[in-house]
Amino acid sequence: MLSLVIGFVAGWLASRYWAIASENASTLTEHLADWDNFADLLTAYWLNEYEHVTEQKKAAEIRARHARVAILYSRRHELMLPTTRREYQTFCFRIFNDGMGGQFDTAGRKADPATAIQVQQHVAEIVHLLRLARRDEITGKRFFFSIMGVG
Amino acid sequence: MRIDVAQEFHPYPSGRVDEDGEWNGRKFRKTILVPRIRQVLRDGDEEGIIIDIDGVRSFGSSFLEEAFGGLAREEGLDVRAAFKVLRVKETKPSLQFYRDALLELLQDATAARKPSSKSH
Repeated sequence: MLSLVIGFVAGWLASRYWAIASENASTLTEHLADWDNFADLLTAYWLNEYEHVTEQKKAAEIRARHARVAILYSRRHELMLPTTRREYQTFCFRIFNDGMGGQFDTAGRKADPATAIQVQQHVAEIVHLLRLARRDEITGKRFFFSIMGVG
Repeated sequence: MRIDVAQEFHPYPSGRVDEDGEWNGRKFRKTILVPRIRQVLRDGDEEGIIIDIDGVRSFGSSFLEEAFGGLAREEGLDVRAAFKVLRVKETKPSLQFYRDALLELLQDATAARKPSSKSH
């Protein structure tokens, strides 16, 4: 009887964990897509010359998309291991400063292919980190580390 | 002392200078941030300044850099003293990134002013 109860509880806990891990993995997958969309917008922005009429609209759209990807930043402690989390933070700052800083808001700015390339490079790192986080979630690695008190 | 960025300035601050837009970093720094910092430093107010960003929709990096990075570069303020009196407050998860980006910027500015630190 006791073994039945233990087995039932263990099975219930496992199914609960799997449901949570699946949901977290889905969240990471969606954010992957959000980052890709954001990168495409930002790259196009830097590959084109300033156009007075539509520039503010483009910049506003980029900021709106950035606000969307910034939401995951607040959840990184729940979804990433410590090393992944720190690197994720680093690349989030890099893309914010390099891609949305400098002459981002400057009227009459020129196209800047170098910044466009940098944007793609930074987002490639972010996407890689999100894939790692998703793998850590699905394999239970992050859960194991969390119950061991690491991260 | 509290600065409610959205209420006292704009919920959508962007750009560095007037040519970039009305609600730019230089205007925020000169009209709001620097006068308050000077007052707090002069009065020795231990509570410092709470920068409330809750009503802001989003920040541009160039706005933050001009507003806060410009404290030492343009205003000649002691960044370490200014950093000690500044606190950033946000309650919305979506704004945590901008809070941390702002704090990172202040820490970098502080490190840049130390004699032995690397130059930017």
